[in-house]
Amino acid sequence: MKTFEEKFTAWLDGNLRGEDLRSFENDSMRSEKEEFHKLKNLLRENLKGCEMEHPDFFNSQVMAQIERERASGLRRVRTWFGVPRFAWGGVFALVIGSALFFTIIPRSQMRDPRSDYVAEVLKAKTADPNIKATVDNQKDITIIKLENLDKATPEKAKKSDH
Amino acid sequence: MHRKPLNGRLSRGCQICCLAASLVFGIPARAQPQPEPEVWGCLLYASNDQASGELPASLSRYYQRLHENLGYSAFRVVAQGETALKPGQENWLKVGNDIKVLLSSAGRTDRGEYTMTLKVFDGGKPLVETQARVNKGSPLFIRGPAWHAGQLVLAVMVES
Repeated sequence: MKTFEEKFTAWLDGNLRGEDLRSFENDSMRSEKEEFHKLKNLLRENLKGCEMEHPDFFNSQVMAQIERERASGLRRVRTWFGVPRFAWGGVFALVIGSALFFTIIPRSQMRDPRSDYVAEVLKAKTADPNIKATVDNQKDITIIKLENLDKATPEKAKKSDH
Repeated sequence: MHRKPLNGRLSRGCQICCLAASLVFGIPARAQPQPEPEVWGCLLYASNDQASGELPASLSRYYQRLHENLGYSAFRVVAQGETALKPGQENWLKVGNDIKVLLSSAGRTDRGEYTMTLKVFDGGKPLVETQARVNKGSPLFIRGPAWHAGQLVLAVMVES
Protein backbone atom coordinates (compact mmCIF):
# COMPACT_ATOMS: atom_id res chain seq x y z
CA MET A 1 0.00 0.00 0.00
CA LYS A 2 1.35 3.37 -1.05
CA THR A 3 1.90 6.09 1.51
CA PHE A 4 0.50 9.58 1.08
CA GLU A 5 3.92 10.90 0.08
CA GLU A 6 4.26 8.29 -2.65
CA LYS A 7 0.79 9.03 -3.96
CA PHE A 8 1.41 12.77 -3.82
CA THR A 9 4.66 12.44 -5.76
CA ALA A 10 2.97 10.21 -8.33
CA TRP A 11 0.14 12.73 -8.66
CA LEU A 12 2.55 15.62 -9.20
CA ASP A 13 4.27 13.58 -11.90
CA GLY A 14 0.89 12.75 -13.49
CA ASN A 15 1.24 9.03 -12.83
CA LEU A 16 -1.74 8.58 -10.49
CA ARG A 17 -4.78 6.73 -11.77
CA GLY A 18 -8.27 5.64 -10.71
CA GLU A 19 -9.57 6.13 -7.18
CA ASP A 20 -6.28 7.58 -5.94
CA LEU A 21 -6.37 10.25 -8.67
CA ARG A 22 -9.91 11.27 -7.77
CA SER A 23 -8.98 11.72 -4.10
CA PHE A 24 -6.41 14.35 -5.16
CA GLU A 25 -8.63 16.22 -7.56
CA ASN A 26 -9.78 19.29 -5.63
CA ASP A 27 -9.03 23.04 -5.87
CA SER A 28 -6.47 23.31 -3.11
CA MET A 29 -4.46 20.34 -4.42
CA ARG A 30 -4.62 21.68 -7.94
CA SER A 31 -3.19 25.02 -6.79
CA GLU A 32 -0.41 23.07 -5.00
CA LYS A 33 0.35 21.30 -8.24
CA GLU A 34 0.51 24.54 -10.15
CA GLU A 35 2.90 26.01 -7.60
CA PHE A 36 5.06 22.92 -7.89
CA HIS A 37 5.23 23.11 -11.65
CA LYS A 38 6.08 26.80 -11.54
CA LEU A 39 8.96 26.08 -9.16
CA LYS A 40 10.11 23.19 -11.27
CA ASN A 41 10.22 25.27 -14.43
CA LEU A 42 11.99 28.09 -12.63
CA LEU A 43 14.72 25.75 -11.40
CA ARG A 44 15.08 24.15 -14.82
CA GLU A 45 15.56 27.52 -16.46
CA ASN A 46 18.06 28.92 -13.99
CA LEU A 47 20.12 25.92 -12.85
CA LYS A 48 22.23 24.85 -15.75
CA GLY A 49 25.36 22.74 -15.58
CA CYS A 50 28.42 24.83 -16.32
CA GLU A 51 31.04 23.63 -18.72
CA MET A 52 34.49 23.32 -17.17
CA GLU A 53 37.36 24.90 -19.04
CA HIS A 54 40.32 22.58 -19.66
CA PRO A 55 38.71 19.45 -18.16
CA ASP A 56 41.72 17.27 -19.05
CA PHE A 57 44.08 19.53 -17.12
CA PHE A 58 41.74 19.43 -14.08
CA ASN A 59 41.53 15.64 -14.21
CA SER A 60 45.30 15.30 -14.50
CA GLN A 61 45.75 17.55 -11.43
CA VAL A 62 43.29 15.46 -9.40
CA MET A 63 45.04 12.25 -10.41
CA ALA A 64 48.45 13.70 -9.56
CA GLN A 65 47.19 14.68 -6.11
CA ILE A 66 45.82 11.16 -5.55
CA GLU A 67 49.16 9.67 -6.54
CA ARG A 68 51.01 11.97 -4.16
CA GLU A 69 48.74 11.01 -1.24
CA ARG A 70 49.12 7.34 -2.01
CA ALA A 71 52.91 7.63 -2.16
CA SER A 72 53.09 9.54 1.15
CA GLY A 73 50.81 6.91 2.75
CA LEU A 74 53.20 4.17 1.69
CA ARG A 75 56.16 6.08 3.07
CA ARG A 76 54.35 6.48 6.40
CA VAL A 77 53.82 2.76 6.71
CA ARG A 78 57.38 1.88 5.82
CA THR A 79 58.93 4.39 8.25
CA TRP A 80 60.27 2.67 11.35
CA PHE A 81 59.66 5.61 13.70
CA GLY A 82 55.96 6.10 13.18
CA VAL A 83 53.72 7.79 15.76
CA PRO A 84 52.27 4.50 17.06
CA ARG A 85 55.74 3.10 17.53
CA PHE A 86 56.78 6.22 19.43
CA ALA A 87 53.71 5.86 21.65
CA TRP A 88 54.41 2.19 22.36
CA GLY A 89 58.06 3.01 22.90
CA GLY A 90 57.04 5.55 25.53
CA VAL A 91 54.79 3.07 27.29
CA PHE A 92 57.52 0.46 27.19
CA ALA A 93 60.10 2.88 28.59
CA LEU A 94 57.66 3.88 31.33
CA VAL A 95 57.10 0.26 32.33
CA ILE A 96 60.81 -0.49 32.36
CA GLY A 97 61.57 2.69 34.29
CA SER A 98 58.90 1.99 36.90
CA ALA A 99 60.05 -1.59 37.27
CA LEU A 100 63.65 -0.56 37.77
CA PHE A 101 62.64 2.18 40.19
CA PHE A 102 60.70 -0.20 42.41
CA THR A 103 63.08 -3.16 42.22
CA ILE A 104 66.61 -1.81 42.07
CA ILE A 105 66.70 1.50 43.93
CA PRO A 106 66.99 0.79 47.68
CA ARG A 107 64.28 3.11 48.88
CA SER A 108 64.82 2.21 52.54
CA GLN A 109 68.14 4.07 52.41
CA MET A 110 66.45 7.20 51.10
CA ARG A 111 64.18 7.44 54.10
CA ASP A 112 65.06 8.70 57.52
CA PRO A 113 66.13 5.56 59.40
CA ARG A 114 64.17 6.61 62.44
CA SER A 115 60.93 6.88 60.49
CA ASP A 116 60.72 3.10 59.93
CA TYR A 117 61.64 2.08 63.45
CA VAL A 118 59.35 -0.70 64.65
CA ALA A 119 60.07 -2.42 67.92
CA GLU A 120 56.82 -2.79 69.74
CA VAL A 121 56.66 -4.78 72.94
CA LEU A 122 53.35 -6.61 73.08
CA LYS A 123 53.89 -8.29 76.43
CA ALA A 124 56.62 -8.38 79.04
CA LYS A 125 56.73 -10.39 82.23
CA THR A 126 59.40 -11.37 84.69
CA ALA A 127 59.89 -14.74 86.34
CA ASP A 128 60.86 -13.15 89.64
CA PRO A 129 57.98 -11.21 91.19
CA ASN A 130 60.47 -8.87 92.83
CA ILE A 131 61.74 -7.75 89.45
CA LYS A 132 59.61 -5.22 87.68
CA ALA A 133 59.60 -4.79 83.91
CA THR A 134 58.50 -1.42 82.59
CA VAL A 135 58.09 -0.97 78.86
CA ASP A 136 58.92 2.41 77.44
CA ASN A 137 57.44 2.30 73.93
CA GLN A 138 58.39 5.47 72.11
CA LYS A 139 58.19 6.45 68.47
CA ASP A 140 61.85 5.86 67.70
CA ILE A 141 63.09 3.74 70.59
CA THR A 142 61.70 1.02 72.80
CA ILE A 143 63.32 0.16 76.11
CA ILE A 144 62.31 -2.52 78.60
CA LYS A 145 63.49 -1.31 81.94
CA LEU A 146 64.11 -4.00 84.53
CA GLU A 147 64.07 -2.76 88.07
CA ASN A 148 65.05 -4.21 91.43
CA LEU A 149 67.77 -6.34 89.88
CA ASP A 150 70.80 -7.24 91.93
CA LYS A 151 73.92 -5.39 90.98
CA ALA A 152 75.97 -7.47 88.59
CA THR A 153 79.34 -8.63 89.82
CA PRO A 154 82.32 -7.06 88.05
CA GLU A 155 83.28 -10.32 86.32
CA LYS A 156 79.72 -11.07 85.17
CA ALA A 157 79.82 -9.66 81.70
CA LYS A 158 82.97 -10.97 80.16
CA LYS A 159 83.75 -10.10 76.66
CA SER A 160 83.12 -12.74 74.01
CA ASP A 161 82.98 -10.82 70.80
CA HIS A 162 81.83 -12.64 67.71
CA MET B 1 47.42 -0.94 1.17
CA HIS B 2 46.69 -3.29 4.02
CA ARG B 3 47.14 -2.38 7.66
CA LYS B 4 46.52 -4.51 10.74
CA PRO B 5 43.34 -3.71 12.68
CA LEU B 6 43.79 -1.33 15.60
CA ASN B 7 42.82 -3.83 18.30
CA GLY B 8 45.33 -6.31 16.84
CA ARG B 9 48.13 -3.76 17.12
CA LEU B 10 47.01 -2.85 20.65
CA SER B 11 46.95 -6.43 21.81
CA ARG B 12 50.43 -7.00 20.41
CA GLY B 13 51.70 -3.91 22.21
CA CYS B 14 50.06 -5.07 25.43
CA GLN B 15 51.69 -8.47 25.08
CA ILE B 16 55.12 -6.84 24.68
CA CYS B 17 54.57 -4.62 27.73
CA CYS B 18 53.34 -7.55 29.85
CA LEU B 19 56.33 -9.62 28.79
CA ALA B 20 58.74 -6.82 29.64
CA ALA B 21 57.08 -6.19 33.00
CA SER B 22 57.08 -9.86 33.93
CA LEU B 23 60.74 -10.14 32.99
CA VAL B 24 61.78 -7.07 34.92
CA PHE B 25 59.64 -7.81 37.97
CA GLY B 26 59.99 -11.56 37.87
CA ILE B 27 63.73 -12.00 37.50
CA PRO B 28 64.80 -10.05 40.62
CA ALA B 29 62.03 -11.71 42.66
CA ARG B 30 63.23 -15.13 41.61
CA ALA B 31 66.88 -14.24 41.95
CA GLN B 32 66.54 -13.20 45.59
CA PRO B 33 65.91 -16.17 47.87
CA GLN B 34 64.65 -15.33 51.34
CA PRO B 35 67.49 -16.17 53.73
CA GLU B 36 66.89 -16.70 57.42
CA PRO B 37 67.36 -13.41 59.22
CA GLU B 38 70.21 -12.96 61.62
CA VAL B 39 69.57 -11.62 65.09
CA TRP B 40 72.34 -9.65 66.66
CA GLY B 41 72.66 -9.06 70.38
CA CYS B 42 74.91 -6.52 71.99
CA LEU B 43 75.57 -6.02 75.68
CA LEU B 44 76.44 -2.43 76.42
CA TYR B 45 77.89 -0.82 79.46
CA ALA B 46 76.25 2.53 79.94
CA SER B 47 78.00 4.99 82.19
CA ASN B 48 79.04 8.59 82.56
CA ASP B 49 82.66 7.62 82.32
CA GLN B 50 84.47 10.04 80.03
CA ALA B 51 86.98 7.39 78.97
CA SER B 52 84.31 5.00 77.79
CA GLY B 53 83.97 3.84 74.20
CA GLU B 54 81.38 4.40 71.54
CA LEU B 55 78.23 2.71 70.39
CA PRO B 56 78.61 0.31 67.47
CA ALA B 57 77.75 1.81 64.09
CA SER B 58 74.37 0.08 63.87
CA LEU B 59 73.28 1.68 67.16
CA SER B 60 75.00 5.03 66.86
CA ARG B 61 71.87 6.82 65.67
CA TYR B 62 70.13 5.88 68.95
CA TYR B 63 72.77 7.57 71.10
CA GLN B 64 70.71 10.68 71.82
CA ARG B 65 67.58 8.74 72.71
CA LEU B 66 69.51 6.34 74.96
CA HIS B 67 71.21 9.27 76.63
CA GLU B 68 67.83 10.96 77.26
CA ASN B 69 66.08 7.81 78.48
CA LEU B 70 68.81 6.16 80.54
CA GLY B 71 70.72 9.19 81.73
CA TYR B 72 74.14 7.93 80.63
CA SER B 73 76.45 9.70 78.25
CA ALA B 74 78.88 6.93 77.37
CA PHE B 75 78.24 3.46 76.00
CA ARG B 76 80.77 0.70 75.57
CA VAL B 77 80.33 -2.68 73.95
CA VAL B 78 80.92 -5.42 76.51
CA ALA B 79 79.92 -8.44 74.48
CA GLN B 80 78.00 -9.30 71.38
CA GLY B 81 76.66 -12.33 69.61
CA GLU B 82 74.63 -13.40 66.63
CA THR B 83 72.32 -16.22 65.68
CA ALA B 84 70.00 -17.16 62.83
CA LEU B 85 66.30 -16.77 63.50
CA LYS B 86 64.85 -20.02 62.23
CA PRO B 87 61.08 -20.00 62.23
CA GLY B 88 59.40 -22.61 64.40
CA GLN B 89 62.59 -23.31 66.31
CA GLU B 90 64.17 -22.15 69.54
CA ASN B 91 67.20 -20.05 68.72
CA TRP B 92 69.77 -19.27 71.39
CA LEU B 93 71.52 -15.95 71.20
CA LYS B 94 74.54 -15.93 73.47
CA VAL B 95 75.84 -12.53 74.48
CA GLY B 96 78.91 -12.83 76.62
CA ASN B 97 79.31 -15.63 79.13
CA ASP B 98 76.17 -15.17 81.17
CA ILE B 99 73.57 -13.43 79.07
CA LYS B 100 71.54 -15.67 76.79
CA VAL B 101 68.39 -14.88 74.86
CA LEU B 102 66.02 -17.59 73.71
CA LEU B 103 64.34 -16.41 70.52
CA SER B 104 61.23 -17.98 69.02
CA SER B 105 59.88 -16.51 65.84
CA ALA B 106 56.13 -16.54 65.36
CA GLY B 107 56.42 -15.50 61.73
CA ARG B 108 56.20 -12.27 59.84
CA THR B 109 53.42 -9.78 59.44
CA ASP B 110 52.25 -8.73 55.99
CA ARG B 111 54.42 -5.61 56.38
CA GLY B 112 57.54 -7.75 56.84
CA GLU B 113 57.85 -7.29 60.59
CA TYR B 114 58.92 -10.17 62.81
CA THR B 115 56.79 -11.28 65.71
CA MET B 116 58.94 -13.09 68.23
CA THR B 117 59.23 -14.15 71.81
CA LEU B 118 62.41 -13.29 73.68
CA LYS B 119 63.39 -14.90 76.98
CA VAL B 120 66.41 -13.28 78.57
CA PHE B 121 68.47 -15.40 80.92
CA ASP B 122 71.22 -14.23 83.20
CA GLY B 123 73.46 -17.11 84.11
CA GLY B 124 70.63 -19.59 83.64
CA LYS B 125 68.18 -17.52 85.66
CA PRO B 126 65.23 -16.19 83.64
CA LEU B 127 65.03 -12.43 83.85
CA VAL B 128 62.27 -11.37 81.54
CA GLU B 129 60.05 -12.86 78.84
CA THR B 130 58.64 -10.59 76.20
CA GLN B 131 56.69 -10.73 72.98
CA ALA B 132 57.67 -8.12 70.48
CA ARG B 133 57.01 -7.05 66.93
CA VAL B 134 60.13 -5.71 65.29
CA ASN B 135 61.34 -4.97 61.82
CA LYS B 136 64.81 -5.29 60.42
CA GLY B 137 67.28 -2.78 61.76
CA SER B 138 65.13 -1.74 64.75
CA PRO B 139 66.84 -2.63 68.02
CA LEU B 140 64.94 -3.46 71.18
CA PHE B 141 66.75 -2.28 74.28
CA ILE B 142 66.57 -3.97 77.68
CA ARG B 143 68.01 -2.10 80.60
CA GLY B 144 69.55 -4.66 82.93
CA PRO B 145 71.33 -4.60 86.25
CA ALA B 146 73.71 -2.01 87.58
CA TRP B 147 77.32 -2.79 86.85
CA HIS B 148 80.42 -0.96 88.01
CA ALA B 149 79.55 2.74 87.95
CA GLY B 150 76.80 2.33 85.38
CA GLN B 151 74.34 -0.15 84.02
CA LEU B 152 74.21 -3.02 81.55
CA VAL B 153 71.96 -2.56 78.54
CA LEU B 154 71.11 -5.35 76.11
CA ALA B 155 70.23 -4.48 72.53
CA VAL B 156 68.59 -7.13 70.34
CA MET B 157 68.10 -6.43 66.64
CA VAL B 158 67.09 -8.32 63.53
CA GLU B 159 69.80 -7.40 61.11
CA SER B 160 68.93 -5.73 57.84
